[in-house]
Amino acid sequence: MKKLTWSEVGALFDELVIQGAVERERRIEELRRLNPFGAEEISSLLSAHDRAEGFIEKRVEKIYASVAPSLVPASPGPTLTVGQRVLHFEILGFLGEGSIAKVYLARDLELERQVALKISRASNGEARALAHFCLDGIVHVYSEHAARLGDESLRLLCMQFVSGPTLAQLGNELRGSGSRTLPQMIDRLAKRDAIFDPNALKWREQLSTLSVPQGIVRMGARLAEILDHAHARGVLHLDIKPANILLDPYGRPHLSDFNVSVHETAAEQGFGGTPYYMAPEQKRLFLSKGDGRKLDGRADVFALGVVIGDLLKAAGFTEPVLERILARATAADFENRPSAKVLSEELCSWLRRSQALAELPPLPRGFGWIWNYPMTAFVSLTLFSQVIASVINITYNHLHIVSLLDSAQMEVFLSCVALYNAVTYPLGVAAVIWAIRALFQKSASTEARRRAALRIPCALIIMISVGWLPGAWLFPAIIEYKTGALAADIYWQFAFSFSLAWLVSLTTSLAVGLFVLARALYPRYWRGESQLAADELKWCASVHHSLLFAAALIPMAGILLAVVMEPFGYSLMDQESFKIFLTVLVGFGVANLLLVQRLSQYVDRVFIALKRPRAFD
Amino acid sequence: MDPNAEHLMGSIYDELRRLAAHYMSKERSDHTLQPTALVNEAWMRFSASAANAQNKSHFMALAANVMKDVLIDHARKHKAAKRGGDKNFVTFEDSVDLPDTGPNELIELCDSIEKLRELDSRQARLVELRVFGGLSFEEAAEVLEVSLATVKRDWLLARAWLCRELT
Repeated sequence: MKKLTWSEVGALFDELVIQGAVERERRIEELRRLNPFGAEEISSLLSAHDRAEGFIEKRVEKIYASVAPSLVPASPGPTLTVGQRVLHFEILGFLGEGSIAKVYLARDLELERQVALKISRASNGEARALAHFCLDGIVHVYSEHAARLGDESLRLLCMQFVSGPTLAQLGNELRGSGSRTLPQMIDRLAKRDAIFDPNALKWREQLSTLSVPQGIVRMGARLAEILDHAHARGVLHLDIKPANILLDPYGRPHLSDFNVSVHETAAEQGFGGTPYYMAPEQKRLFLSKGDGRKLDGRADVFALGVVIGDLLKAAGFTEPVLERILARATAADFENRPSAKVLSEELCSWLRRSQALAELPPLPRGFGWIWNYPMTAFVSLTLFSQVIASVINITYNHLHIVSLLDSAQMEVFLSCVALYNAVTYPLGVAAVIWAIRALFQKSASTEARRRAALRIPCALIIMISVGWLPGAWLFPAIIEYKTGALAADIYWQFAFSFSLAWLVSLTTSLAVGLFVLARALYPRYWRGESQLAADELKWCASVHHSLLFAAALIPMAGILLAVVMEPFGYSLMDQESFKIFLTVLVGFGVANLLLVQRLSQYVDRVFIALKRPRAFD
Repeated sequence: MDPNAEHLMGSIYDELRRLAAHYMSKERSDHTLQPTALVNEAWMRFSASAANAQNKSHFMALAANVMKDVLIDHARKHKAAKRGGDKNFVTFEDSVDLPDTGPNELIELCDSIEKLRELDSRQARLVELRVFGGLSFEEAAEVLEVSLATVKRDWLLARAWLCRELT
């Protein structure tokens, strides 16, 4: 009789643990006869099992509650009191602490100015990293000192004092901000009154005209610009996070805490950072699993992207274009990320675009859907104007041409009508759609879509002209070819009928087409470059202005008709219908002229909003 | 240990300490303190900017080790501080009323896990993963490279054994 091995115990336990009490008892009795020790072992394990539910969890929780308080880290630097003097600095107050240092507001007694004094037990490369810069937007480092306090040796970093809150504090404030503007929030959070800086007032003014999300993007663009300056000098920050971004009372962000920053030539080693904001490649380096590629500025771009995204989330704001910009900035592979400079430009463009879109005249009541479904709007509205032109064309043909034809000519005419419509409508629609096909392609870039949208006026003019004008000659020519000589005035009648339809179709289609282009398609695929808008829309604007002239020709055509047709001498009934047609034509012409004029004014307002230069400096 | 893992553990250690400090500084009454929740949060923070979920179980396995070390480390210091040994160590113990059995119980638990390791090292590891890392059965199965059913069987036995051992 020997002791059971652990795996034998395990096997028996597995077998019995799922059995009921009676069966367990029976098997243990069986076992007891062969191996009393083993039976005892199994039996005690089974009874322990019955009370083991949640046992370990409770035990660990209890242990943890007792041990956890001692996890609180030791203070990162010595505690100084207000009024205390260290070297030539007099402590005025406590500003904050990080993982390795405490920051105090102090008065530099030699130069009589307020400074931020960062006091740590160990030195780091921050002074040297920051000393590179004398740039607005990066906290200036004035000097570094060594001091002794009691038996501790300390490092003092004397820096520019930025008196506003950190971006982290602003982020918390955003969650319950209500209707306050960014400058109001910054005022609430500011630690001290600012030193008056007239140059910075412009920033604050600009910030107060922006909505909160726009203000966040403005700060983001500025931070990207600051990063670009640092990157241009070869310095990577590598610890961009809200707590390291200070705001002055004017709302201008300042980058601080270059503790972990490195020069890009040394950027293949692992170093610190904050995991949440760390770019994947930086994280890999941090875990010593780099793929041999050096870090570059795009690691900072990633962190900044996360920071901006979080602030917008805190403000409860989403917008697809902005999200695409930030998604690119936080792409997992840094090859797909923009540089800080490009990010700054993209954010500025978004800001310009967002302001321009806010200034667009509102869509007429009942037409709000045009913004969301611009292509449906474009296709349906332009097709509708074709139908109007067709109705006018068919009515005129029936009133003035059909009565002049004999039955053989009539037959040819009717088959011509069927054939012509069957060919021109599908071909015309297909041709326009082909010209602007990028707008329907999922894979097309924003740029390609915008260019396609700009082709709309040109495509419409060509399609409408090719669709209508040949009919003026083709119809009588085919009738003459099939049935013999045709009177000259029938040629004139056809010419007039098709030209009139062309004019109606051209003016109405272009008016609505340009309206959809200007109010929905172009702004949708435009990135906010005002100069680009001014250049690209020049042609559209001139088309729009000639439209008014073309639309005025339609009622003129009615009058021309009245004057020229009178001598042809119709029967009395024809004259009645002729008068009705004339009245309808002139009425439609005037209504169309009014519509074109209204749309033209509207589109002009849109163009002005899009072209207005908006500088952010 | 390979240097990558060591490096990672260093950063997890800091992160866990930081998180613990964060929670300790809040109102105590509305928090049930659980090491597994901390490990989870450490993971969330670590992974938030990179979608590498397949590494989660391995991260948590490392974090379980770290968590255990963190706890033991501090249990020892705690006891030392009680004896007046470590003056520099800052704790909240003066301000909050805590049961003082924790450190002893932790060391007892760890000793038991070591005893279990002599019987079956995989089961001991499983207990660590579950208790200090908060790994689910699925995650533990992935780390230990055994089937889910095996993990569940191991767990029942190991738990019963520990329960008998500790009561």
